[in-house]
Formats: sequence, C-alpha cells, structure tokens
Amino acid sequence: MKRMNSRETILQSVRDHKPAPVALPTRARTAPPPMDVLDRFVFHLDGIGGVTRFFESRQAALETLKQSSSGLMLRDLIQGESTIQEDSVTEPDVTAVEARFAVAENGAVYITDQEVGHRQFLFLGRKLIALVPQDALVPDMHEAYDRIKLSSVGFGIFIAGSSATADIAQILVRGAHGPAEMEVWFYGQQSKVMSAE
Amino acid sequence: MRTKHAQAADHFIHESPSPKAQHNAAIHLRRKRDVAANELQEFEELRTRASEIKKHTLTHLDQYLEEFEKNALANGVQVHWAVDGNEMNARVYEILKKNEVPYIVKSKSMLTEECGLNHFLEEQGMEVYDTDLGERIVQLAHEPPSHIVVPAMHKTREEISALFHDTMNTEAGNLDAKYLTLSARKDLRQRFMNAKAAVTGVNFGVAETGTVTICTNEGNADLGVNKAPVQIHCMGIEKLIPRQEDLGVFIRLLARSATGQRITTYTSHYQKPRAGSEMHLILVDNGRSHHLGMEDFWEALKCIRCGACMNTCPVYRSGGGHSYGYAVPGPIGSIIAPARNFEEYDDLPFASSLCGSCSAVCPVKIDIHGQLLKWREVIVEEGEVDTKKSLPMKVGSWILSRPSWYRRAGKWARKLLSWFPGIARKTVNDWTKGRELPEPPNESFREWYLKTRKNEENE
Repeated sequence: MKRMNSRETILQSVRDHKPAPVALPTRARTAPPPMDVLDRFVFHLDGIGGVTRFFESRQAALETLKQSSSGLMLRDLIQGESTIQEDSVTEPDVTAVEARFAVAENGAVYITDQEVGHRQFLFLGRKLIALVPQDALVPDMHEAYDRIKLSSVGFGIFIAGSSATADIAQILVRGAHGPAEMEVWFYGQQSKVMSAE
Repeated sequence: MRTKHAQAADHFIHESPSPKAQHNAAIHLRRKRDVAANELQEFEELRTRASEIKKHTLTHLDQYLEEFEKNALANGVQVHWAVDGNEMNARVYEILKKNEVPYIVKSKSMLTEECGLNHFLEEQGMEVYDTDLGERIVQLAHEPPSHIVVPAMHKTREEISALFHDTMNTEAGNLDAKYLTLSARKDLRQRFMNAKAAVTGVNFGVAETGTVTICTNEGNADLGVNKAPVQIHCMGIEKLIPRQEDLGVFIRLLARSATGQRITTYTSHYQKPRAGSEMHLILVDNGRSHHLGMEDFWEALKCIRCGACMNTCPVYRSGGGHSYGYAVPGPIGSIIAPARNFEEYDDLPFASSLCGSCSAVCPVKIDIHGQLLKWREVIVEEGEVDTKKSLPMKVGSWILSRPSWYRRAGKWARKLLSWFPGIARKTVNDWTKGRELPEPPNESFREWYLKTRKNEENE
C-alpha cells in the first residue's frame, strides 16, 4: 500500500539521519509571581481588553445572566436553554460558558468540550462570558498544564480576551472572527465581591 | 551563487510604494517582545529548556512520531503520511473529493505555503478561502506572505483599503482599520458557516496525547474546524513535542516572542473529532528528515515559527520579506531554505549582517547567525561564489600571507591613491557613495616605527 510506504520511508529516513541522543531536561524553577494571583489575572485580562467581574455565588452570577439577557442569547451552561442547533447559521448575541479555571499570568480561562456542548459556540456571537470559581486560579501555564488532562477530553482550549487582529497597519481591532468582547465572572469568595449588581 | 535576494531587496527599497511599512511594523513587534520577555524572571531559563526539549525530541523523532500516531489513531483521528509536498497536496485533495467538498476555509500554515497547497487545489478547480486577515489580504492581492506571523506586514492601510474596494466593494478611500477588518469578517462569514471542510497548520503536536495544538488570535482556525464536518491538519514532522507538560514551556515563549502577547487569544488542543465529524492529520516530511542529518544545521528544525528573528533583523526590515523568495523569510528562512534546496537558495546565507540579534531573541536558542556563517563556508567550498567576490578574496589572502608583498602592496596603494584619487570611486563605486576616503599617509606605521627606533638608538 502506498500510504504504508510513505510512513515507512519517512520513519526510516528519520532513523538514518537523526543526530546523537540528547536527554530531556529537568523541570525549570518558576519564579514567584510579583503580585497576588487575582490582581495579576485582573491586570492581564484588562491589558487585553477583557473585563473581570465578581459574584457572591454561582447562583448570583446566573441570575444576573438571566436578567441581562436581550435579543438572541445562548446560555449553554443553563440546561435546556440552548437556543441554537449545531447546523444552524444563526448566531447568538452572548455566549456564556463555565470555565474550569483561570490563569493569572495571561488572563486566560480553560474550557473543554465537557463544558461547552458544541465547540463552535465559543467562536460565535458578539460577547463571550466565562464563569469561573474564584478559587480556581493558577499562577502560570506550567501549573495550568499540571491541572488538566488532555487525553480525557476531545477538545480543550485556553481563551484569553476577545478575538483580535492587528494585521492592518498594526492597529488592534477586536472581533476579527470570534467574539469582540470577553468577560470573566468569578464567583464564590465574599471578600472579593465588588459589585453583585 | 545567485544574487536574487540582493536584487529583490534593492528593488523593494527603491521601487516599492512604502518601503518603510515593513520596517516600522517589525520594530514595533520587536519592542513589544522585549517588554513581555523582560517581565519574566525565568525567560532565559525557559529558552534553554525549550531548546533542550526540542533537541531531545528531534534526536528521538522516530519514536515520538510513532507514539504520536498511535495516540492519535486511538483518539479516532485519521493519520496520513506525506513524503513531500506533492503527496501532501494529493492527500488533502483526496479527502476533499471523497467528501464532495465545494470549497475550503483555511487558516494560516507556512507548511501549506511551502508545499503550494492553494495553487494545487485551485488548479483542481477547488476554491480556497484564506481566513487569517493578513493571509486573506495577500491572497486577494495575489502575493505570498511577507512575514510568517503578520503576512501583510508590507502593506499600508491605503493599499489595503484600495484592495478591499476592488475585491469586496468596500467604501473607496475608507482607511479605518476597524471598518476594513469587519468588512473582511462579513465577507468570510457565510463561507465559515457553510464550510464542509477546514484546513489548518499545527503549532505543536503532543506525542503523549496525540494532541494537535493551534495558536491564533482571530479564532479563524477554531471557527473553521468546529463548523465544518471535515477538519484537516497539515503538520511538519518537526512540530512534535513529547509531553503535555512541555506545552507549558512553549506556550509561554511563543506569543511573547512573536508579538509581545502573554498568550494568543486562542490556544486550542484537538484530540478527537466531534461526533459525526472527521479529523485528519497529515504528517509531512518534505526534506525535514534529510535536514535532520546535517550535522551543522539540524538545530534549525527546533524553530517554532514565532518570527522574532525577522522582526529584529536589519536586513529583513530593510529589504522586506518577499526578497527572500522562500515561504519562511528572514534569518531562520535563510538557514532552512538552503538545507532544503541548495541550488535555489544559496544566496540567502549572505542576506545577513551577522550581527547576531536573531540568535539573541530566538526562543529555542538556535544559533542562527552561527549557522548563516557556516552556510557561507559551505557555499564558498562548493565554489558557488561570484568571481567578483572570490577573486579579490584570493588575491587578498595571497598578499596578506606574504609580509614583503604586503609591504610592497601598501606602498604602491599609498602612492597610487595620492596620484589618482579617483581610482577608489571607479573600482568600488557603491562603497564610496556618501563616503570620503582619508588622505593616504606618506609612510606606513612600520616605516615610521623603524625610522623612529633608529633615531632613538642614535640619540
């Protein structure tokens, strides 16, 4: 079979040409972050145009979500309220999803296809809202990858801020193909609640 | 040796409507990179570690390829292997034909540029929509990308506005970047929504989990593959890393080095196809395994395509990305291109000032300028250097290794230059533009020294 041949040809050529073995390095030290992890997260998300909000509880966040709904809105995390189908070309205005945790050093949140039924929803609509338990915050990407298990999900993604491009004369434009706005809603720690609205 | 790069760069500097656009954009990214890199105490340590991980992977590449394939297959991914670009193109077309796909949406992939996928598919009557905004701009302009991260870096707002007016009927003379960007979004939206197949490149393949990792800011790759029932990922075999935890190192380095971002907006990990969909992975060699066997040059395969070496390179910034004539331009392209096709690209290692800035910013610590110099040695040994360059070198080295000839040559040069001052302008015309030769001294240092010592001894 031809395909079998290409595979063997490539593997054999790699075996014939690969240089003398080099060992895998040991893990690097991570310098302690210069500021509180939550402050750091807010700082970085703000720096990329995102908004951080705080709520007393998950329930409080969901209430706000329901109240602020206007127009076509997808709330994939609220069971049974999914308003668009996989094959639909209609776009939601706001997509709200649950994220597993957030990363302080870059303002990212981690979401898998266990949280969002249809992967495409994350990239549709005007605004993306990610709900995250406030204690689910890691300092950097090393700890982020320690925390997840890619082999147990079909799809996992870090999202930091809104879809953006600066391909025209280095001018930043949000909403290139995905949502133009991104909000991270932390819930669950009274001390940090600023406005529950 | 060819002088294609020198001629193309000369043309870019003197003939292009905006030779400064690329320079300004590149230096802007270089500055942003410095801020993001300097903020991390462990940045240098990360670079070292990234380099070691890549070296380890490349020196065990056969094992990791097999592990990657095994895990991807177990995840339900269809794995294909392509010895060269033609085979990759044929595989992609085969999948598209089988699924009766009318057109594809494509995200940025330097591998598919290298293999000429767009051109091939269009020849078969298949429409290709590049969806990264920069890629879309150069596609509409029928040009290749001039930068691997910012493909339309060489274009001004005015040029893009005129291009969009001609191709998408946008308002003439509207220079608002937001208006132009959102017009492109609107133009591509229905293509995304109805796409039957999406093609992407790959930033990192993780052997341990069979993961395809893709980093974008626009979300175009993700929108494409998550809408379309057929997703195809084209990946060069050198893109592998061993473990999930290694991603921590590379994701921290990639965006910081490329644009000064802490992470790209989207960093996605694809393990399995969606229910009812197909996920294809094409592993492409196209000269990489042979390159791996080049003792002095194999480390160039560590490259993670961040573009930092381009942004910092004075030759790239002046001469522009198109002057290199290869899918990957700039310093890294100048060491990769001759490894893949020596006859075609043997002038690129000379497209450098050897200042070493490229090596200083490379996130995986490739000794780029060291390799450029090494390539020059190879090219000179192969006798591929123009006689205009090689003959003076030979004469020079003959004279310099013979002290009496050296003294005689110096004496005659001093005399000739004072008798006929125009001689330098005639022989090295370009060099004397804007430069004034100093007055030739009457005697050499050696003559002065011998004379002075004699006088002192006599005193």
